[in-house]
This record gives sequence, C-alpha cells and structure tokens, in this order.
Amino acid sequence: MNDIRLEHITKKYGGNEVVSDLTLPIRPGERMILLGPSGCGKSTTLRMISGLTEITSGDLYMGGVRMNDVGCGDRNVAMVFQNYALFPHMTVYQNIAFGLRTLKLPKAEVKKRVLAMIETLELSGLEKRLPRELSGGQRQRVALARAAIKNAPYFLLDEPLSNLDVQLRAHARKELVRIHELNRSTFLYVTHDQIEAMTIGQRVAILNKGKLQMVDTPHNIYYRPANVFCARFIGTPPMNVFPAELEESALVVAGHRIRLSPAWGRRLASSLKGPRVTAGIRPEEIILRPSERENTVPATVKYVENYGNSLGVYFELGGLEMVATVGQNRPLSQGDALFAEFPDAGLSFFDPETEKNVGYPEEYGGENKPLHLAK
Amino acid sequence: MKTDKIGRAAIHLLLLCLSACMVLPVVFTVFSSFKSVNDIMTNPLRLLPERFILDNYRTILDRVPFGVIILNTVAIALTVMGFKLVTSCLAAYSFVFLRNRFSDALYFLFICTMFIPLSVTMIPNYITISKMGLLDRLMGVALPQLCDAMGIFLLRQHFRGIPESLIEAAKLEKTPHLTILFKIVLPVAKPAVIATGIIFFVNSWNEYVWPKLVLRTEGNYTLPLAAQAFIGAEGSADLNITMAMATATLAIPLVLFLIFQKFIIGTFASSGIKG
Repeated sequence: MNDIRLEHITKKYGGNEVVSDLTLPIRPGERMILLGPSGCGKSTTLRMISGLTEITSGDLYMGGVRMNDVGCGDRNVAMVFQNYALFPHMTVYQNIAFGLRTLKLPKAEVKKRVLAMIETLELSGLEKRLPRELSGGQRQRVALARAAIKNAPYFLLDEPLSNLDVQLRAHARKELVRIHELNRSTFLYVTHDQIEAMTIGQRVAILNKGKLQMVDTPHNIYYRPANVFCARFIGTPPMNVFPAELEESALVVAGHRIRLSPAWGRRLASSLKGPRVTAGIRPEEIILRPSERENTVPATVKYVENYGNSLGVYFELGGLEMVATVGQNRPLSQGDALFAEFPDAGLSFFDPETEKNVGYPEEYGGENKPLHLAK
Repeated sequence: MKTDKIGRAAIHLLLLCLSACMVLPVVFTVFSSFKSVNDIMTNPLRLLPERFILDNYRTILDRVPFGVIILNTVAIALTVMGFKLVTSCLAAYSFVFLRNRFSDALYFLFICTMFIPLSVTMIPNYITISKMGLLDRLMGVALPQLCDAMGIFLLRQHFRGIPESLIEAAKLEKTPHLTILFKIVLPVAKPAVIATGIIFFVNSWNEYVWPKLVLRTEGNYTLPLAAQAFIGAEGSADLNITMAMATATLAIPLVLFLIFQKFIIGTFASSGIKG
C-alpha cells in the first residue's frame, strides 16, 4: 500500500519552527493538496517527505515503513519542482529518460517508455529541443513527464503551475488530474492557489504558520471551515467574518437584530459559554434586497467590483464592512440603500476565544453540507 | 544626447589607450624577434624591423634542444592542468553540494592557503621533492602543484550558480555523486571549467622560480628557463634572440587564449555573481 503517514512531524531551522507537530494521514492513491500562504511550511513538508530535507522530530511512514532515515533516492518518490529543474544541457528526450537511464534499464525499454510519455503529454516533435528552446507550458510538461515516467508510488509536486499564465494553468490542471488517473500514485500537491487546490484535490490540508488547520474535501473546506483562518483564506472574495452577540435566539450585529432559526438557537446554546460569538457568511449567501422585508438589516453600498460573471458589492452595515456577490443584472452603485438578509443555512459560527468552528445543526447537514443546500 | 555621445567617445578612447598598453609590448616583442642586432640597437623604438630575418630563431634552434624543451613545458603544463582540474572539481563539488556544518570553515582554511607566498613553501617543497628523488625530473616540478585553492575558489563560485533543484532532481533518481558531477554539474559549468583549465595551463607554462630550483640539465628545461639561458649573468643579452625566445614562449598560450577567450573572459566576469 502506498499511503503516507506523518506523525507529529516537526521541522526546526535553528530555533525557528517551520513545521510544528504535523499529523496527517494520506490515503493510498488519493490526491492530497497542501494549501497555505507563503511561509506556512507546506513546501518544507513536501521536501521532508521526498527526503531532500531532514525531519527534526516525529515519524514519517510511507507504505507502512518508517522513512525518516531512508535516503531520498530510496524512497521511490517522483517530484516536480517549482522551477521544473530541467537539465539545461540535455534535450527533452534526455531529460525524460534521465531517471530510467540511471536505473540502467535496457535501451529499447527506455525508448519505448519515453516515447509513450512524450505521446501522452503531447510533446511529440520536441524530443531534440533543449529546455531553453521551449515555452513555459512545454517546460512544465517536460518536468511532469520526467517525474511521471518513473511510475513511482508517490508523486510530489511543489507549486508546479505557479510559473504559467492563467489559460495554461487551467489546461495544466486537467492534465495533472489525467496523469494521476493513469497510474493512481499517491499524489501530494503543494500550492498557495485555492483554485488549484479545489480543482485538483480530493482532499485539502490547510496549513498556517507550520500548523495544520484542517483536512477535508474541497466541498467541506469551502462550506465547513474549521476555524476563522480557513474561512478567511478560502474563497474570493473571502467569507465575511464579524463579531456578534447572541440575544434570545437572535444575533445582534452592529446594533441590528437578526433572528436565528430554532435549530441554530439550540446548537449555539449548547456550544457557547457566553453571549459573544464570531459569525461568518460567504458573500454569495447574503441576499441583498431593494426593499425592507422580514429579518433584513439596512445596508449602504460603498463599492462595487465587477468579476465578469458577478458583482462584488461591498456594503456597510452599522459600521461593519461586508461583501456580497450578486448577479450582473443588478444596476448597483455607490451610496445605494439596500437590505441584507442572512439565510440560516449559509451561516457559520466560531468561538470568539479559540476561533474554532462551533459546528452546524443537523437541520443544515451537520458537519457535511448537503449538496442541495450548497449554492 | 550629445553629452551621452561625448561620454561614450571618452570611454572608448580610454579603453583604446588601455588596450594599447596591453597589446603594444606583445607586438613589439614579436616584431623585434625578426630584427637583427644592429636593427634593435640603432632604432630601439621602431616597431617594424628594417628587414624581416629568421636568424634569431635559427640561433635558438642551434643553441638549445628547442623541441624537447617545448615538450617538457607542455608535459608539465598538461599534467598540472589535468590534475588540478580533477582536484578542484571534486573539492568545489563537495563544498557546494555536500555541505555540512564544517564546510564553510574548511573552505576558509583552503582559501587562506592562497595567501601563503611561494617563498614560504619553496624550501619545504624542495626538501620533500629531493627526498623523493625527483630533483631534475619533470614530475618534481608538477607534483607540488597538483592541487591549489585558486581553482577551488573559481569553480565553487560557478557551481554555486547551478540551481540546487537540478542536483535534487538527480538525487531523487538515486544518481551517485560522481554521475551528478560528470553528467550534470560539469556540462552545465563547462565554460567555467574550460576557462579554469586554461588559467592553470598558462600559469604553469609561465612558471619560472620553482622549475629553476628543481631542474638542472638543459634537456629537462622548460621554455622560461631556456629563455633565461640567453640572458647573461650581468643582464647583458642579445636582445633580438631573447625577443625570439619570448615570442616562442608566448605563441602557444596565445593561440590557446584566442581559441578560448570567450570562456576565459566569461568566467572572470561572472565570478561572484550568482545565476
């Protein structure tokens, strides 16, 4: 079995703890994403798994075997580097064949496999080119080919798409998933780009300052953020997170009362100590109405951002700034007075002290947001 | 615009003058080697000879075993260059890619040896060589020079410019270090390695003091030693013949320089600059 288990892994550089007490089981054959802002320790984690960086403490198991003291060449991992690390003096063919040649495979076998890989990644005709004669997208595919040809049980990728432009990235994302589905290796992908994480990952691990924040499916990462950091980190524009107070099954936000459903009332009563709470709602869950209705609060438009397929409406609500995304068919401009509605199914609540999510009532799907409730 | 042009012209003029300072003595030497004694003495500052003659070269061939001397010099220079390249490449590779916490201190020690003058090492080296029975042997000249810090310094600078990820990519394929050195590091740093080799060759070619100490018989002489033979003890000399000898000594490294000049200049221009 090609699973990877990180148990209490810590990495220190001098007194500086880059990764602290990371425990993360990765299932065999899954696509796991390590996501986080720069400097969160995600690349260091990947390098510790590859064996290029030593582990300070903790245990790393790959396929059930402890790997801490096994050299990087013996871990049987394939890796794609952020800068691709193509050998500049070798042709595309030689680059892709490098690993197989080191293994001293017969020439005919090497040729067969390299040509097949060149075919798969649409690099035909470029075999004799040097890396400097290739475009960014082609280099990225050569780097992918060089790693994939090993058929290694573990496939590690360190921000492989960060040097590509937006169109190429979308294409390359699909390609990565396709390559993974060809050999089903355990796929570990480091990125700071949430779109990549959501589109490629089967599960996503979010790291911040060397600490694991949450591990879950892209769906739950988005709709069930484990804490305030995850809520703010995922989503463009990010989730609105604001302080509020509970008052007899109603939420008081900047002086305005928003009535909560009985389900939320019960849930919050059982998990909060005091009346203070940190509330969150995704921009697309907020409904902006032109006229007052039951359970709406007045809001003033401050700024409108155009995303092409939608508008981001930044509005003021009793001194708080929030953002809602609405369809393009709404003529909105600065200063417009609107009424905001916060549907119960779209809310999240966090403990104001620990910033951890307090959980969700069963009525709204509990810990897994049901698909029919997701927008 | 205009001041820009004047500035450029001034810079070019300055460069031209500096180049002339470098080139003129060489040109003067070459032309003087075709002059007769009278020619040199009557018009010492004239560049071109009155009449081109080859007598000076003929005299050299008559007075010393010139072919053997060239072979001696080439043999020593090639040996020194070859061994020094091997030792420098291996050491530089270790200093850059096989780092541990002693690497920097060790490297510093190596670099310090560059500042030990020849006059300090001369006598101990001489005693060692003589006890090994290598006096008056070509090997005795080459042996103490097979490794030095200069090459390690130059190559380390270049190896540091190689992205670490190239080495890591190879390590993940379980590539042995020697294979990484020969298949990746050396090809990528080829211009620097060639240039460093040329520098080693030329340094050894021009060396005078150490070969003078070790070599006794004329048949073992190198070119600089043979050239010295044409200068009398009191500094009197047949200038025309000395110039011919200097030209001959100069010719081989000059040709090498012209062939590889692109690499030599490149290696100095980029030492200390990463990437």
